[in-house]
Amino acid sequence: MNQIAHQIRYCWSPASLLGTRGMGPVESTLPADVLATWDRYLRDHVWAAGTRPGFTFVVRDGVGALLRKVATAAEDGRPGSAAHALLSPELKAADALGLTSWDGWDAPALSVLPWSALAPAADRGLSELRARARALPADRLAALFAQVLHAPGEGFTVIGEPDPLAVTCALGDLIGETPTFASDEASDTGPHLPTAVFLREASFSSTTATRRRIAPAAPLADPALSSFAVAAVDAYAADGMDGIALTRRAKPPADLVETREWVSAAQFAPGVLADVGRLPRLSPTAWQSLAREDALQRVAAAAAAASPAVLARALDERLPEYLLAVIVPAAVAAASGTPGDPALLERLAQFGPIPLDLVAGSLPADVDQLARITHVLLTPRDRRIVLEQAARDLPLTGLIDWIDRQAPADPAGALAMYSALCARAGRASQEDVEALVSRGGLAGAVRQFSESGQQSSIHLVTLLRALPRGALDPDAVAGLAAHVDPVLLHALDTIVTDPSARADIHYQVRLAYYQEHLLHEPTALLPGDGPPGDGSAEPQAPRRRWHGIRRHQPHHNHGKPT
Amino acid sequence: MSVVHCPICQKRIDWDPTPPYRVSDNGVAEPLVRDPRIAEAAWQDQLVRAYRPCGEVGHPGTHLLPYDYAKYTPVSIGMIGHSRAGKTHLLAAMIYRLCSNDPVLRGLDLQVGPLDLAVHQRYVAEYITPLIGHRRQLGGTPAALVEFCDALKVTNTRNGRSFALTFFDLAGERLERASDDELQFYSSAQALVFVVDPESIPRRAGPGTGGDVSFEVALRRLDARARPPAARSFHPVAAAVVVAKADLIRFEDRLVSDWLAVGSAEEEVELSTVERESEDVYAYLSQRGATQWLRPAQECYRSTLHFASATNGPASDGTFPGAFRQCRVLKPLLAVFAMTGILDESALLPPSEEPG
Repeated sequence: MNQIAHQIRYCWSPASLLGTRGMGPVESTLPADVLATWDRYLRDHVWAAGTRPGFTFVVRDGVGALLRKVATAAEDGRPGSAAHALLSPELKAADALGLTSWDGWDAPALSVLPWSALAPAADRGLSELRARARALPADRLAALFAQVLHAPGEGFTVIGEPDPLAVTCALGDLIGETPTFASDEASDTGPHLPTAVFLREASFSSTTATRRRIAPAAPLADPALSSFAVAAVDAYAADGMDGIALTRRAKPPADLVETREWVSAAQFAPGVLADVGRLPRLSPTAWQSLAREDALQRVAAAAAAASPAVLARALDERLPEYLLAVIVPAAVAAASGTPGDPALLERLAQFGPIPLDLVAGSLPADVDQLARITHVLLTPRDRRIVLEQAARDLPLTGLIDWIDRQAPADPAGALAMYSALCARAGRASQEDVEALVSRGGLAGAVRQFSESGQQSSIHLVTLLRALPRGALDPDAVAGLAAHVDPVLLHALDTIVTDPSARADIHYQVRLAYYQEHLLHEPTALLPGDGPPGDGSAEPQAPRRRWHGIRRHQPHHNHGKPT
Repeated sequence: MSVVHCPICQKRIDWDPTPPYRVSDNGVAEPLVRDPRIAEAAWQDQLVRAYRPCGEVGHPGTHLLPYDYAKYTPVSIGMIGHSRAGKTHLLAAMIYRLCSNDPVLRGLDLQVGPLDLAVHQRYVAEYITPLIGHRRQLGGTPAALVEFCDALKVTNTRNGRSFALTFFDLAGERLERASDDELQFYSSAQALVFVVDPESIPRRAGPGTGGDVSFEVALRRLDARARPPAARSFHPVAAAVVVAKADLIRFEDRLVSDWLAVGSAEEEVELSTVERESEDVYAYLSQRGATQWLRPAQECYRSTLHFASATNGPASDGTFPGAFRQCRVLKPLLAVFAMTGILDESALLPPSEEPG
């Protein structure tokens, strides 16, 4: 029977397919022996209670059976019933609800149907029914839901409900599993009834009712369940399945103990669903109910587990500060993830600048991410504090690299990191110094966050002076000077005292000058002419050990990124 | 009486210690506890509408019996017949006539009233009023639920004995099921009304046909009952075999026509004609080869046979036309009363055999 659906039609007959007289199967796609078995399961469900079609869904041996039954007049005019059953292992309760609006009921001839032909109708029908379910009066639905919650594993009967199918759909959506159902019955005292049974009225029976009778007007003895039901129904009515997605259980609770656990876990506080995305929709009264330490802890925990999309929905200027104070850090943490969430960060930016103490624990460890997040969210001062702090944990070579790489795009961030670098420069290793030399002493980066060449030079002097004694040996100085950067040369000229090194510096200063003015060097300085040996102030031209080093064009755009 | 058996499920009930229950507006049984402030008369009034359960309330298959059920001699009457034999219409017409307070009934010294007011009101609303008041054809009986459809208290004022009558009218397809654990009334019913569908019997003399499966099931299940020594070859139950819908065959056989013609109220309560009518019905069925339908009359210790019509004509578009009336519907029930001791059994004797 997999992937297909069988059909059976019931009505009164003097001789049914099973040879019986009375209400029995008169048309079927099932083999005769299987039909007899299913008739035993279905024959107590085939009687219509009234003129409008009633639907019953039951499951036996893993096969779902949906019956549509209608009151009829037989040939002799006697009122009776007719029923049409669909059977398939693929048929679940939610599908059955959707198929109540299937257009194949009462088709003239029955045939085996591929499930693929029914599934779209089931989906479409369920969607339409769910729209009806969301439009049910919320107070009635909440009352019913609260009563179902009280004994979730038990069957129940609803009396006088105008739209039983919509209520079944809503209760199934809310509790996590669509129940088996009978939408229109005359009695609920018989055996083998589905979970949800709907009676038009409370009829008297000599057989005691064993099923719970639930009614919208029944008083609710349990305020905890009631407040949860009201909140869940409100969310369902407003946003459908999305509204309860975060609080809905994968499986319905089995008993009251599980219900209470669920109700507790699914609320920040009584009447407030544990869905941070819904917080902006709540009333100020509901917000006030969250102004408790335990409630705020729940909000924080939920926010920490929420997706960036949910957090983006949760961020709302109208929320009281005590709520924002727990949501924003979680949103910062989410936005700081890998990959980050641009939409969430953009939403967070609308709340900036954010106090540092609010987000300090939520900031990313990755320096690139940190720089990006702090750039959007913090004041420059706070950001500098954060970046300087982060820089303390970076290897100096990494820090040098970061400054060199990021300065054009993020000069303020580079400045902060540069400050940290200066603070740690006294512990620079030979490798660190070589990294610094290879990047031209970061002169290019420094220029990005300096207002002038003079200031750039001062920054560079600060760094170079902070290096360990002896770190700037002649080779290092020569390497730095070879970059022919005026501010770097200026800085070197400021701090280097070794005559030989200074000769190199001045040589590079001269070269820089000539290059700046598109002049060739004087002939005497050309290689092979030999250095001036008169002991004058002019330094000897150094050997060209560093000719392989690329010479940077000097920069003059002091300050800002190019 | 401190021990009774539930007429529906046959569970033993220790009656006196069983506490009373009331049925709330939503149909749920709740313990009825006396408010110490109310007067005795008010408490008794509550008890009149109260019930005692045959088991633990809230457990499946527990039934509610009228609080004073055990004060009276129980008499259960079951309708037997296949689907659309005419059981429901016949029983509704019977109960309507029995409860009609017709002056002719006073001659029988019977007082009739509801035993279970809620059940009786439901029965009147769902069966008697549509059929008698609105002349509407009644719907088929759903097969799902097994319980009595009406409960009456009948008192024979001549001897002062009161009886608790419970009527079972179940779906024909259910009565045909060979194995049905829920159907327990066969083991205790004092009387069975076997309803013969005249449209199902053979039309002329010849070999008998298969008969009515529900008759076979009932008789087979009666086999289980203990039989009194004096009548070992018979089922210990009163059987009234009623050819229902007799209006459909009145023009096929003069016998039927004649009996329907004498269906006045006075004649209906005259039980001395029952034997003659039984002979005629027996002959009618025998001549048509309907011998299978005669088995209840042959196998039950006490039996009578009747012609009756609950509507005096077939329905048209779900309603009964102008000639609508009930013909001889009460007589089979009164015959059952006589066979079960509610009435004096001697009332069934023909005039010549009446005890002198």
